[in-house]
Amino acid sequence: MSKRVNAISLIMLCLILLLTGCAPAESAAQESNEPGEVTGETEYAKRITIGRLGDAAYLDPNQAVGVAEITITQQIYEGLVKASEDCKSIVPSLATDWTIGADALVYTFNLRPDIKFSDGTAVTGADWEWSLIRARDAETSGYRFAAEPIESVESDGETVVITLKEPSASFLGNLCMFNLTLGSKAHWDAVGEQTYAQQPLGTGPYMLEEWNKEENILLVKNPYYWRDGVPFTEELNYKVVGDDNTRSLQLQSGDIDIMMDVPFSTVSQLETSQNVKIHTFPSTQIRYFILNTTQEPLDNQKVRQAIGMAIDKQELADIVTSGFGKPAQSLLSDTQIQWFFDGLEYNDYDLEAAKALLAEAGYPDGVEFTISVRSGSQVYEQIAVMLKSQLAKAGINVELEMLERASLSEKYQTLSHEATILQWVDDFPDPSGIMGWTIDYDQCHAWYTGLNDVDLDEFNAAANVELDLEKRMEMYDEIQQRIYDNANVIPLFSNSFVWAASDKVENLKVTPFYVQITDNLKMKK
Amino acid sequence: MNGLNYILKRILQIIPVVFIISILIFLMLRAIPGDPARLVLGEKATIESIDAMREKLGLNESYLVQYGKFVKGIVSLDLGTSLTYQRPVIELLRSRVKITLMLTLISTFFSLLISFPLGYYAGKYKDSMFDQIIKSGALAAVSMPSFWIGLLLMILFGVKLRWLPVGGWGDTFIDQIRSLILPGLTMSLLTSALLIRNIRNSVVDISNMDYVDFARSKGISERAVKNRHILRNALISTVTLLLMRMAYMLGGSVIIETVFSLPGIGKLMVDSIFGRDYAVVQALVMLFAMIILLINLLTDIIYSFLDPRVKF
Repeated sequence: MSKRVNAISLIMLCLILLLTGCAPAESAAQESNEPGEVTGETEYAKRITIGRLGDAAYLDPNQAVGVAEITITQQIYEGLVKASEDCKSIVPSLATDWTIGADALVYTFNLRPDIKFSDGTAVTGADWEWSLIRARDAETSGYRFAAEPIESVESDGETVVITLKEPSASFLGNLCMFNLTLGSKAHWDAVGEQTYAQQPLGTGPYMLEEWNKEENILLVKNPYYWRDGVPFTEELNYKVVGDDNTRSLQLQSGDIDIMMDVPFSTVSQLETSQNVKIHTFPSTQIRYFILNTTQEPLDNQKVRQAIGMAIDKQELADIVTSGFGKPAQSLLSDTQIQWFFDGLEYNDYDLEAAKALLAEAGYPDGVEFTISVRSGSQVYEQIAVMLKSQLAKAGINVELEMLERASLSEKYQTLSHEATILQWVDDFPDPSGIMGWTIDYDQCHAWYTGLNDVDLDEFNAAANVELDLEKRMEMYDEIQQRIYDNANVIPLFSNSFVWAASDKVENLKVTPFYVQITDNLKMKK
Repeated sequence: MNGLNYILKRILQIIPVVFIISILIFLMLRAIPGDPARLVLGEKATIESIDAMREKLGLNESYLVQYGKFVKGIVSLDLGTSLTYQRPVIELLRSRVKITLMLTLISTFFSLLISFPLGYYAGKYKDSMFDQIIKSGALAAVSMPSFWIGLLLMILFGVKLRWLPVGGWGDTFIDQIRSLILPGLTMSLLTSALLIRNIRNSVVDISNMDYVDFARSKGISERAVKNRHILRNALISTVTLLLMRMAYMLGGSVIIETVFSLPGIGKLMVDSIFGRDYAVVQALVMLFAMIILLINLLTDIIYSFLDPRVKF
């Protein structure tokens, strides 16, 4: 027996060595070593592999979408206009120019000629009409609001005329959204709703080549793309690597070339590894604290303001983001420079003033409430623990309740919570979205705070239809101040997007709206 | 014939158990807070969108109707469509079950390879230095968290030596086997440790039995004593333990799958619970229940071969 066991062990050892040995040391990078583009002396890889947290469910911009979906659909679909790379202005995309009627009701766009879908078929006016109306009528889309102002769409293939239900000054901004993009009606007619979400067809720089669910999405260059010489890299392979540590090890071993979503806590470790470069990008991401104003004592504005004053936002930003963040006072990101109100009057961190305000509000002995926190997320857990300890210093006793995502969202969406911590990233270069969510009571109870400030709601609606840019900017300044004073949503901090990549990767760009600009993304071989 | 009757009877007994499990999982899923429609649509969805989604998902129907559809689905093997992945559940399971099954087999293979020789010799040379080292090693393997061992193995074999991939799943069969070596090894450490302790103790106990002395006194060779009298008897409890571990492994390990980025059913189960993907969770629970029940049955059958005293 022992000889037999030994023999079996030996055979197995050989098998393992064979399996491990048949991969040369460079195997990790072999996918990138296909013959690629040659520019001058430097040779570039044909494929770049990007490691990310999770897979997409649908690749249809008009079904329920999250960041995993948007990252991919933005490479496949394009709209009439888009946000500039710095997200400060609106620039042409499939439209060359446009006019907005004096009543802000009719938007007319001149289209680029000879645009084709990635299967070579020509774009028609019917595609435009179908795409935009579909976005408006997509009942099961969480982003339908952006298309809801549309009354009708007419297109002859050279122009697109959009008539709105009521005047809107922000609609051009809405058109930068990922769901107001052009899809192929003929393709949808041929394959049906369900398959369309799995086999997208657009006019963007890349098209879907292969999709192994929960493994990878392979995008290849669209041969009919309207911009010459773009994109540079033939193939982008989006690989799902759910675990942060594994994603970081894969970057170091060369299995992936770019690592999306680097957790702040792993940056310092990655910085020390050879051949890896950390990239930070300005972002519109803001973490904030929402207080349910229908519950005592949070129904008291002074209590809410005292809570705001008792939070040391600088300390939060420094510790949670490892230095990649800074305190936020407005809910609008300062990246949106045109709309951000830099004259905001706000209260600095002041414990004594917070205590005095609590006493003035009728709570000299402090208050108590519960923060419901999303479990399993290091950032949220860290923020919650720090808030608890910071608020305690002002006599505000906080209980923490850890809930998984589904239970938490049910809780705050039905206003059964007292407070919770959330985040968002802007989607388009106009303040109407963020301000609307925070103020509009009918839409989602003033972003799940239950504050029905009718006067502010009306003022916000007026700002949304104000066509005079100067005046509109002033109105949004006032709105930002009034939201700050209401203190139903307390901004905590903003932070940069942090990615990491092999030092061979060039021109890695991510916009403040989290759009990856892949035009000149390339990697040396 | 008796044996066949027994097996048939056992299979029939599975039916009411499965029925009760189906009711339990159906009700439990709906009892936990969290609306699938809200989850899919995100926080910016309007109330109308949420209603439309609930209608689309059939969540506005009565529990009785929903349960009826679920049972009908199981019987006709149409398990519905996954909410999160937008694919038929059957198709989703097919690719993932293959990965988990391969991982279980590789891990079992490593476990056997490690545990039998080590366990036997540790028992044979009880209290020797070798035995002490094996016992301490087994204790360490049981105590160390698998995600940590997994990361260490990845750093060594993936990043430093670059012999094996750092997580992920391959396209070709060879690549797939290569990507299962590290997770298989990580997973097998706990199983091996449990098996080693079990085999060692059995060998120690059995070696002291009279029939072993008797066999030796009859002049049977030492190898025959070891194979026919010691190891065969040690197998009885070991097989139970191993099959229980296999049942556990077939349920998928969310930690191993997450660390090694393998799209198996363990992670699918956890993600589906968090995503309130009712169709997938129901299908997986039913699958796990069947696996456990069948493995129990298998254990009983194997017993009768290993131990002639066990009769149906």
